[in-house]
Amino acid sequence: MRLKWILIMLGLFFIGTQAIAQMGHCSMGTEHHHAEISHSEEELGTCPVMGGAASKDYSYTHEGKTYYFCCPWCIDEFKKNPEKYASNPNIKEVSIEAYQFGFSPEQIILKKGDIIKILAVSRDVTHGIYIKEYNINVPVKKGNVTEIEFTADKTGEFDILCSVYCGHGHNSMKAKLIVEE
Amino acid sequence: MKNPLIDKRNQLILFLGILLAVKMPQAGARFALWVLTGIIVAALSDILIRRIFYKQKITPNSAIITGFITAGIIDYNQPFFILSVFVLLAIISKHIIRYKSRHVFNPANFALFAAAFFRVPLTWAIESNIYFIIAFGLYMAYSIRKLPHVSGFLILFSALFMMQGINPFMLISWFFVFVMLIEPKTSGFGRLNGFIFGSIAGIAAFLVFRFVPRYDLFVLSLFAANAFIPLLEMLNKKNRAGLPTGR
Repeated sequence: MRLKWILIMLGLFFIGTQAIAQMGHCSMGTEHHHAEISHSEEELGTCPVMGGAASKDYSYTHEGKTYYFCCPWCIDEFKKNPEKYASNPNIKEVSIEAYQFGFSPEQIILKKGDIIKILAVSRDVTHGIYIKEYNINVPVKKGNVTEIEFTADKTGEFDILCSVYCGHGHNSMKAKLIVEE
Repeated sequence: MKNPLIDKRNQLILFLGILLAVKMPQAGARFALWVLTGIIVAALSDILIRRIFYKQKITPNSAIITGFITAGIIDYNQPFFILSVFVLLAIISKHIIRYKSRHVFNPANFALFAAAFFRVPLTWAIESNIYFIIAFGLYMAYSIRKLPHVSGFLILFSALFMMQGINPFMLISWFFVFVMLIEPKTSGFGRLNGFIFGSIAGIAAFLVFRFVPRYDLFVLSLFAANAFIPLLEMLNKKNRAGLPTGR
């Protein structure tokens, strides 16, 4: 009888912990949204590393040209390999952030024939970017920028899924890649 | 006639069926068809193997569970032949990789390990309602005496992730803990062995997350813990043999 009570209490504990963890996660999501809005108020183009909105607070001059970034970490990344991030007009860069449990943005729209470089980052734990039709399946570690380069040669709407288990909402993580004619 | 729901395996099949039904509105008919394919391939292959090689007639409850879990975790947008291959592999592994007349690896997990190795995405679509999984899982772990396994895993997993500043409850798979980890035949027997088994899985999950995050931490950790079972049983036997014959 006592063991059954312990079992019931354990059940309530796990369910409670899970609910609290989810609530904490939801409030984290709101903070992130606000941070995105404040960044977009500064019109300095996009960060060459992450592709997000750049800020005047984070700049670096390379070969006479000043580049603006979204965070100090991107400056370090740029300094490591400036040729890699200096602009290439033929490649379209798109950034995507994976988080528990979704992607931001939820849609990437491209034109057929575009050469694309997806710059993928993770907000929390390791995620994966999986696009079946383009045979893309790469892990995205927190603190790293994962680059995925491909030519958008198939038209249609394709699911972008997470391929690395990242928590109980893993199976609901989905974004869309739309390639138009 | 005996009530079929007394059998724990039938209870688990019913439970998995409910999880599938909960996921259906979001995942669509393809997911149901996918799982059904997994179940049919697993059941038929087990029946055939038993009949041809062991001259036995069986009700394939365990194979149905294997098919359910394998299909529920592998991405259901893959081609059907991929599912069939891995489910078949799960059933074959059960009959080939054995130690003392028991299979060593959880068959579904063995197939998922192989799938992960070949970069087939594991989307864990069957994990549709964690609250239901926790409630049913606690009942199941208690009734088949696998609470030490769960405790060992949770203690080590939580402690190691908290030390890294990561909330373990945001990352944990309750489906793994309460359905896969406590599989009766491959998770070791007894309180101490069970606790050690769970602890090995907890440590392995952390190590995979930390050092090879591209692989599924739960699938690899259970594979590692399963591999330790023969060793645990040998140590257990040695200890028992070394005990003084009490007076």
